[in-house]
Amino acid sequence: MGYGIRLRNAAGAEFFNTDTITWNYVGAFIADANTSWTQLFPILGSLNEVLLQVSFVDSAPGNQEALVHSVSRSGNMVTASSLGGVGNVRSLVIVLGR
Amino acid sequence: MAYGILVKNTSGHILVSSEIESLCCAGTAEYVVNLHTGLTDFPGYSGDVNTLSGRNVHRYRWFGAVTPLFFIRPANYDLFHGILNQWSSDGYQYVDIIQSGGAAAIPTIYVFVPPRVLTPSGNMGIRTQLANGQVAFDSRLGPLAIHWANSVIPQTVPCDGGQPTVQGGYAWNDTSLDHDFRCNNTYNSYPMTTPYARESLMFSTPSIAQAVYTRQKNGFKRSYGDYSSQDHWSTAVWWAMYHSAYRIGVGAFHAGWGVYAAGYYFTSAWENPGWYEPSGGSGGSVQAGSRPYNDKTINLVSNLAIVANADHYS
Repeated sequence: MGYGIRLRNAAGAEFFNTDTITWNYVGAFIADANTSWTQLFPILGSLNEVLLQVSFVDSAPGNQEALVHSVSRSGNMVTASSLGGVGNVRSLVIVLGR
Repeated sequence: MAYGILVKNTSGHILVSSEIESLCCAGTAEYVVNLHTGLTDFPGYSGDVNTLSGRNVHRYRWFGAVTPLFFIRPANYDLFHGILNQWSSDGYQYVDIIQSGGAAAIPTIYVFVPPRVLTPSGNMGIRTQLANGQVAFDSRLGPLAIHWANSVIPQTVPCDGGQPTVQGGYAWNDTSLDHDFRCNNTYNSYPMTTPYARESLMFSTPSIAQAVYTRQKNGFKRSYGDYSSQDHWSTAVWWAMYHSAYRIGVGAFHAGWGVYAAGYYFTSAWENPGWYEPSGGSGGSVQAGSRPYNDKTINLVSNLAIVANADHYS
């Protein structure tokens, strides 16, 4: 490490090192079924790259099609869209950035 | 930023910022129950062994009000896992994890939440606060160090045997399974360089892609009597439903599948030849489960896989 932060616990074991910290947690939100939702994350304007993770909130049904929302980022906003026949279940969106 | 901490790498990526709320480790989730197990072969169909890859669905919970980020540390790194869903109820945050394989290999689930809901111990380390005074980073709480993250997607058809078909031309009452519905070897591989041992790593990846695929064999026989003919028909159907699942390979991250449900049904029928022929009768059938929907793969989109070192939080 030429520069950065390296943290160790009381036993001397390193648990945090900016050499290997590749992404930050920006936030999360839930989009309701059959509803589009846009969430503002002001810090996104400072970040070069963003990754979005989508998951089911409720039990994934085994007897019908469960379609999560379509998610996208524009500037400092993240949108979970139910347009186009998707998003018929609640979706959890988690945002990472760096 | 007028004041605080801002750490960037040489590419200009922000690695640590006191303007961003970091996630910290809240320990491991409490194991609740194994909801489903087995599924190494087709229910209701006799004679097959290990024709499916097996399935376990484990439920966990963590007591708290905020939505956590759950990480899976497998007990068996050769098996596929994924986060089926997560929800809150009665003050708990629940998560269901799908695990491939016929036997339960219960993974450890790590819980990460914002530091504002945790209580640190000790009085040394680094702590940053947001402008409103809310804690954003506290080295005493085991801040999440994301080692690797990437968008990943499984292959479209989960079956190791490729896409099954509906075909005729088989003998009447042909019920021999001739398609490989297992999914151990159908995955996309993403290179992942890490200084850590494979068995130290954990990952967070939702299982949202689903697929249903069916093999159908239509059988036929025509019998000839003294005065007429008699037709016989049969239909044998095997179907399996899959959920996307993942594993940490050797130097790579694998996006694949795990079987979630399956069924079999068989019908057999034949013509009544009329009063002038000695034989006659009616059809028979057997059914085990109903197919969720017609053959297709849904929610097949790139999703985020996050990998971190679990040893840092053990």
